[in-house]
Amino acid sequence: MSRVGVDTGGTFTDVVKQREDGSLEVFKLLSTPEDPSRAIGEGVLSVVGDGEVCGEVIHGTTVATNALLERRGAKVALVTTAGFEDLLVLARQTRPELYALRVEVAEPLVERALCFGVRERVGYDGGVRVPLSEEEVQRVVEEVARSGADAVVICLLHSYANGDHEERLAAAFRGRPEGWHVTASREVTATFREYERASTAAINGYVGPVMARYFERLQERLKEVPRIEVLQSHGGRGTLKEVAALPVHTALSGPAGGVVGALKSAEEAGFSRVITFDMGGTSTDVSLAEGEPTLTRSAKIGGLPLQVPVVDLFTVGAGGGSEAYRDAGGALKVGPRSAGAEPGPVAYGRGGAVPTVTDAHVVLGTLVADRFLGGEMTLDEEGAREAVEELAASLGMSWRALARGILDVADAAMARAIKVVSLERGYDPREYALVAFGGAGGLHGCRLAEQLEMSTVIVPRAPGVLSAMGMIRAPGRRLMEQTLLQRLEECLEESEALRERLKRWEEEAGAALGEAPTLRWTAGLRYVGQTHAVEVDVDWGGEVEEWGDPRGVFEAEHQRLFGYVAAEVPVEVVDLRLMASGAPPAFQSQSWTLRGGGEEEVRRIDMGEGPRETPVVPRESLEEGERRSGPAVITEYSGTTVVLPGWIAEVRRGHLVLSRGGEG
Amino acid sequence: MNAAELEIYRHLFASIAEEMGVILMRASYSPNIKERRDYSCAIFDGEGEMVAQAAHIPVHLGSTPMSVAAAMETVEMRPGDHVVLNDPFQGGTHLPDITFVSPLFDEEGRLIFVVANRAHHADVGGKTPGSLSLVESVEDEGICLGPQRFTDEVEGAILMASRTPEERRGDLRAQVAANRRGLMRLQGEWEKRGAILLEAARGLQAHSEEFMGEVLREIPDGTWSFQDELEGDGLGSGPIEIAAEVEIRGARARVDFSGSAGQVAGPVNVPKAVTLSATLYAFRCLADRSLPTNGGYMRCVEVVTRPGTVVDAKYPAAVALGNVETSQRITDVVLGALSQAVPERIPAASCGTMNNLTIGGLDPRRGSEFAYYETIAGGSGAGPGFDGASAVHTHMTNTLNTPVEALEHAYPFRVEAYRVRRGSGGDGKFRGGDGVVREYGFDGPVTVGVMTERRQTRPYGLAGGEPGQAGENRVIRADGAEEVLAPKREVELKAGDRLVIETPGGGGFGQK
Repeated sequence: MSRVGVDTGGTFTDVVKQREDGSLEVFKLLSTPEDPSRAIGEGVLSVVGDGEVCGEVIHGTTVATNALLERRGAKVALVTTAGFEDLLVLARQTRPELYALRVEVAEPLVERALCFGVRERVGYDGGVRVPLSEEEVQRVVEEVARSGADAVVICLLHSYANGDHEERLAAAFRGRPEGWHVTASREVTATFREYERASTAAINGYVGPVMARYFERLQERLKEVPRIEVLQSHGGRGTLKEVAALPVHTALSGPAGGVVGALKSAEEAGFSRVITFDMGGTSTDVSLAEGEPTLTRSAKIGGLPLQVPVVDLFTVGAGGGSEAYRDAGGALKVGPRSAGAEPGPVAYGRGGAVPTVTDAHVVLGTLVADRFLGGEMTLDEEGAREAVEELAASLGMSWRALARGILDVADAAMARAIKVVSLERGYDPREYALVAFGGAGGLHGCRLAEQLEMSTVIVPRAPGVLSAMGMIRAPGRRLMEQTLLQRLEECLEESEALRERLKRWEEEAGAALGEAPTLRWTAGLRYVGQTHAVEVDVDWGGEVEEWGDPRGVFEAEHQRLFGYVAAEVPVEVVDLRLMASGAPPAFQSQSWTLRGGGEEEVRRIDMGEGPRETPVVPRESLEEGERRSGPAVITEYSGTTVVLPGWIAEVRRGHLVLSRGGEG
Repeated sequence: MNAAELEIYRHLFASIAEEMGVILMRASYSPNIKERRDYSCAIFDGEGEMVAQAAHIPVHLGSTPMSVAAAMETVEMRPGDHVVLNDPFQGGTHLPDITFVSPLFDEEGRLIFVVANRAHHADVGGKTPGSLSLVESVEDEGICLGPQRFTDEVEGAILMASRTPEERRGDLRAQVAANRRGLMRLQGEWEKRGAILLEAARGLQAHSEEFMGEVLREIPDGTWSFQDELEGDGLGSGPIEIAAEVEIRGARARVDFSGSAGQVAGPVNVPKAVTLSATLYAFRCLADRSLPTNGGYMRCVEVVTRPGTVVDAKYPAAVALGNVETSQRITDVVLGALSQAVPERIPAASCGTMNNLTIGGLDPRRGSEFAYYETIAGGSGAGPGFDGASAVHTHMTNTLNTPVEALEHAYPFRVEAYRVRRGSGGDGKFRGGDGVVREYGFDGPVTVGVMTERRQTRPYGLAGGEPGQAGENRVIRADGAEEVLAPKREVELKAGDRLVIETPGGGGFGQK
């Protein structure tokens, strides 16, 4: 039975099929934004041939993300502790732009008229200060019923410490005939900080009904497929049922697929420590990972905090479509303004007039005008040149200097992003391989690696559909977490009680993932008095007698991150987490069916040191193990790879591994 | 330096300043720094002119350069030194803001760069917890450090002075760690790139100057004045007038505060550094977000003050609240003057106060003293074509609130309610944003300081818009008796008492 990964993007829906014999087929079709399930249905049908059985579809969805960004979600009612009904408006009381006379803040997802307070109060220690009466429960349920809401979100103060009141309210709402989509904040994230938890729960409620309807349509279109799963933002798969209850976990579904795909490709090529670099049309996502995606719990989406684990991406507004312009002081800016897919760069010939990063590549020759999308589209070189010349004149530069400058400025923004995920967090990028993908990743991989003194760049097979590839390679995954806010020594002393809770998590994970899932226990630790926790692995999976004291590991990490250790200060356990992963699906990449091709030829291309005779090589023509030294441009259907002078490209397990100075 | 190189180096310096901020935030101890992010980091050239500042707190904008100048002037800096200071009359602003200045030298011993960070410490001694007390001299406001090397003795003195030495120790270490990180990154770039780094710094400053010049040239030449007032110094003086005369000539602006009142007894005075910060902030807002924040654009704006006035106070004036309150009024008058020059761009007044609250006492859960500080948001002013925003920090501050759950975990009191104060924004064609109501409950005795403005005067409206509502501070005693507090007041509260702070709304814009 074949398995199919589908990644829905803004313009294209990418489909990757793996047959039982391991062979792969890659396919792109236009997305159908009004109902994304349509393109998915068509895509799956067209790759699954007659007589073939598709056993499983794994899907990367943007339905939740788009509903959120375009504000097309449900009518949500929010229930809070009385006196805190404005939680979502108050947010953290800051403004996003420091120097703006017009203060604009992200509009809350819940209208104020749909925010309801209940009389109850739990203290910081979980003790009940004001009990929640049955009358109060009934009163608020009736009020919500009259409000016409179609989803209910409950977030009470300190519910991470004691969730009884939230649970009672949730049960009351779920017991009603209205059939509301009900979210209790603790079910989404049992962690402290009420605004962030409420925001996360509100996102869940806001996208819940939209996702439920979407999943129904998707199941209808794929009714022949026995198993449909969704890739979640943390890089693990979930069943439709799980994801329908907690759709908030799909907010970064597509990008998570890219990170999983990048890690798997790197692993095949022999690298486990990577910085992923996904350069698309309007923005670039980078992340640092070692074997598994690195996760964060402080992401934001559309200006709203999302306190569930998601791949730790840093995004900059620089991509192939980023526009170049002169600022008021005479400096060259590139992005965040973007020509997007429509009209797109000048070279697309669809009405774009402002030169972009893509146009700079076209005029320098690094993007070969007649080999774009495997030759399916020809780029307007002359138009791009004119637009670059016009801007160059206003800056007093030659067009060539400007074109190089545009690429350098884009690189500076992207290098800064890489520094944020590496140096700023105490990791040296030189110890990592750069995995470059997305439509434009291969164009900039070597350039960035040179700037950051990195010695290896990997451009995975089919770099433009890597996210869909990640879908079919991700494991099933369950995450459990709980805020403790307890001294470490207390935790270790009272470990029997804690062990009971951890056992329940293990059982739950086993039931969901089958067999023996891989368990990773981590704890957020900090010195008493600090706010930010450092996450470290703990070996608290076995019997209590064998539990280790993580203080040493914590202090080593603290030293690495902040340069000091406070030996005299006690350590506090902020929260405890379990990540349980099922076995990764079997995967063998043997043969590929890819479009594109053409003959190898020589063109004059400027890689920064003036135009030079440079071979242009179709990727399809390269054999496993074949090596090509730079300068060279390797073209394929979904991307172009620039091999700079001094670099050598080698095909390893189908992926291009570029090494500096030829070693590696 | 061509147009592309400028932009590349802007990214480079900005990312170093941002990285310093990340280190400071993550390594620090106090909620005030970690949660509220009341700090700033910046890079300066060897002459002490700013090269890059991470976008943190505006009130630190123009004043950090004065700290660097004071450090360079007073201390013979050597490699490895960290200079510490908080003296308002020697490069500081008010005592809780402690600044660290650290030098970078080249191989020949020439000073090439300086990094600095400033963080607001929740307690540095003085009469009341939180160090924002109603006293008449800076001598009574807490420990006061002129620029000096940070040594174990100096650290010991700060810890000794503070009610919360453990927290101070952690925060001071984080400040040193942040500067070290900045120096390390600059050193690395210096080894890689050498002297072009200095050329880039100068190029960026020239670019920023040119950029601001462009912005100023778009404003018609002329002179405009505006005045407003502080309602009192908390010790019986008031109202206290703040007056600005803004003159625009081509690519230059001159702002003259000479008409402002003389310095007063209570702690609302500011050293000139704060006046400079507020003025630079107002002008920074005229440019779009891409203007690089460095010393270059600061060259375009000249600030004139008369020594001995409330906006250029002399030792031993008390200054604790000047940085947080007077700075807001200075912003109001500069923007008020500019609203006459470019009425199509300037909004009505925002809430005009940081609504400072300090709470201190004995924490029965830990058996030690605690000192808590927070500021509460208000409404922002409506402008030509837009309503104000509700419940946001405006102008000179942008600190986060402390989450109720984090606060109750760390301190022995509760937040009983936290709401938007509906209807408090000024009416008009465009409505001012609403203020906030925050209510606290106590289980034991505490000393509370409420240091606020715009309780008697109101944030002005423009173009016929109504002013925002004034705020109000109230105590509800355990027996139900209610008392409205003076705008600046220290008060002892007991178990069962409640404190209610209602913050001002923003002014409205245009006739309805």
